[in-house]
Amino acid sequence: MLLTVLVVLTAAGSAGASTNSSGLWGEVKRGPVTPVCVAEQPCYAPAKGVTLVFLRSGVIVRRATTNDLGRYRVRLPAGTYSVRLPQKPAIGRDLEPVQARVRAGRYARVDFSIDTGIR
Amino acid sequence: MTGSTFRRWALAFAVTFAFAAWSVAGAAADNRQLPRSGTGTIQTGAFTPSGSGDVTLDEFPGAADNEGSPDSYGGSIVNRSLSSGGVFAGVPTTTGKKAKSNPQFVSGFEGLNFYQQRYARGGNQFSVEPPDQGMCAGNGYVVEAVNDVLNVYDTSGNSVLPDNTSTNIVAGFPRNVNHAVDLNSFYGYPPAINRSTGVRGQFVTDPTCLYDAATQRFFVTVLTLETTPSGAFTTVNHLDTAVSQTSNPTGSWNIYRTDVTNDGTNTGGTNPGPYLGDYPHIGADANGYYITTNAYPWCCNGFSGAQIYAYSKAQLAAGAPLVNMQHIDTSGMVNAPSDAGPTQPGFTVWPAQSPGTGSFATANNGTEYFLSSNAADEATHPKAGTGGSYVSNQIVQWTLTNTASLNSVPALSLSNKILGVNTYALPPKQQQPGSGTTADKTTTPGVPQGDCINDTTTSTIAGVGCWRLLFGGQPAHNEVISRPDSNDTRMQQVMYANGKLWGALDTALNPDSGPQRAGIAWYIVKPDAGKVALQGYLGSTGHDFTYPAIGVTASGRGIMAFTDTGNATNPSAAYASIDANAGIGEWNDVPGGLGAAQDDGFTSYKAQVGNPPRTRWGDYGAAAVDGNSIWIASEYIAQACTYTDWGGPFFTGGTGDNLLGTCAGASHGPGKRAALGNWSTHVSKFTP
Repeated sequence: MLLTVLVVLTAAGSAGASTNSSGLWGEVKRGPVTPVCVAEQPCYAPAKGVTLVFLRSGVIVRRATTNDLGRYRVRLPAGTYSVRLPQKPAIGRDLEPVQARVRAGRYARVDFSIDTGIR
Repeated sequence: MTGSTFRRWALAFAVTFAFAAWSVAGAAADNRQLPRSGTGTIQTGAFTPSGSGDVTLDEFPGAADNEGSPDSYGGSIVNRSLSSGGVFAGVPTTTGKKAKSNPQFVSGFEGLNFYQQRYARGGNQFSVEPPDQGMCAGNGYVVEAVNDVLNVYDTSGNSVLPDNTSTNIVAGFPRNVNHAVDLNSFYGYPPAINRSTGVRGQFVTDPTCLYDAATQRFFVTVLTLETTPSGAFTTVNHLDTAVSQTSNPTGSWNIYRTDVTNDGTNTGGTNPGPYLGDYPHIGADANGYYITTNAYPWCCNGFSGAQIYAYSKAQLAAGAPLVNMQHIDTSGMVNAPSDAGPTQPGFTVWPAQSPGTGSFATANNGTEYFLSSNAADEATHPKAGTGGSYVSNQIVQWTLTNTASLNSVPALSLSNKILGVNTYALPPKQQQPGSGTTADKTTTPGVPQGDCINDTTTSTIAGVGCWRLLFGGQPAHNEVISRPDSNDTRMQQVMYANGKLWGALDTALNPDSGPQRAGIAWYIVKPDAGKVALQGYLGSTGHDFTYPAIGVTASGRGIMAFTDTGNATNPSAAYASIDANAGIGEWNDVPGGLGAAQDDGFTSYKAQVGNPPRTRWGDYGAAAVDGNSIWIASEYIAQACTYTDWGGPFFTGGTGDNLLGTCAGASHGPGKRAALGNWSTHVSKFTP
């Protein structure tokens, strides 16, 4: 249980005054982990140790790193954030989805995924 | 020194300098002798018929998985020359020259499909996506292999394997799978899953096929992952290559297994082995049979280089008890920067195949060529496995020389050269009719599985709400018609014919400066000169073109197969001519290959695979040269199945098959689909 809520949070800027009661949580998975997806077997695996970067108006607000189960939890003020991996590509995007919305007073679940390239 | 001697020395120096300039030393290589591991025939192995007493009747996972991919190229690649010529036809390319190729459609037929895959071997199979198109042709036969089933046809499309319908009992009735045989049987493995006990067999995937006219042998290679009885992967995986003992593929085959678990080189940092030998693809020259893989670490993100496995073709064809093999790791061989340093590994280094018996490159004691691309993270970020730009204006030509040594003491030499090309970039997902529209049994009848997940009112044998037929717990009823996956930018099938290398890949395009779509970038390379002779794009307004595969005759007449999907076009098998005079010619959907419905596979739905779903498609097409003809094969949707027919007797008062979702009628088949998917393949013959 402790593991499921264990997160690594790194403040990288002002988070505002209303961060105590709102934010995001969810899972980051990597996949496919097998060349073909089978209806009775998992095709994706937890992406552990992946750092997500949350930005608002182009400014990094917070980072969160997934635990061994690929889970993250991050306090954020209400608003819409762009989300990316630490190495932002010059063109194109690197994560799906790339935006997340935080509502005041809530922790919303948003799951992310990373393409392994396995086919 | 005479003038002529000087010129010879000068020429030799120039040639040596030129070669060194694009050679990269330091490839990790090792030689082995590979034992023949067995023999087999294309017939179904032992099994217990699946039925109502199965412990694994429920193949519908309740757990929600998640997945996704980098998004498509953010820029614009305009392809003004390729305006749409109508709903189903495009227009010729730019040059205005009359195409050397004027392809004539000869014949076509539906190949393997989801129903045959799922219900082969008495139903002791899985529902799988995507099919991964393997196909080859020669000596009057067409061999087709997909995940995870195989068939052999005559040139009219009739299966020439023994009819196994009467013994293929599923849920109490014989199932006609058009004589198809599961790949586990072909390679001598127990069933993928024993549905009576739940015990899993080997996980066989990524089939690919080649007919070598020089040796008159068929070669079928797959990647096999070892599993525990409960289905967990042990991380041991091997390439299984079956070689027909004669020119008749319905007879006996020899089988060779190459362990690839520990062949990837640690490119540093976060990528320790063991490795998965993913995406095996094959080629041949006069002397060698070549398999290349992409080595991914099992543990984590990252990439450990394309691996090349070179075998003596003559020894394989002869069924030798020991076959010479040399393995080369391409890590660090491409002189372009990556997150691992000043070099990149090769990625999807696709070996060339050649038509007939006289098209091989014989210089330097035998030469095999390969092509690859380098826009993907695997090339630019092999350590992190993510973070790249997914755009490039380079492809890589690989040259493997001294291939005749494979027949004695292998001493191969591998070099590569980066070739500048027009920009290509990660394509967007495909759009099919209604993509994004909520699945509803009355308004979107083409996707009955999606309709079922969303339904809460239909009376069924499991209660009110169709979803009860698929899940134990109630899912969210928010499924939409999906956008099938496009390929990334990896190189697809490569031919060496008429002295040139031919290849193509998926790219983002903006046809007629309009919205970005998935399209194709194609290349014709003069490998002797290390230059691109001709290149271009193929795309069309309102359409997505994906998974190209080029076949070219010895005289240089080619056909490119691909999937055509669009705003008003269900996933279809399509083609275009290609030659070195005019490049790409007119495209069209294959007669009989026009999609009948949208993709309705289980990977399309959040309730099946998590959010966001990645609708698997592809992962590759196939083209095979057979004398002056070219066979092509692509995934498409062959059948429209209504919601009512999909439910059949599982809906109160309904009639039909006693297996959910087959639309196979009360006669219990043959069908084209099953509950969780509806892919089919279409095989066509052209005279280019």
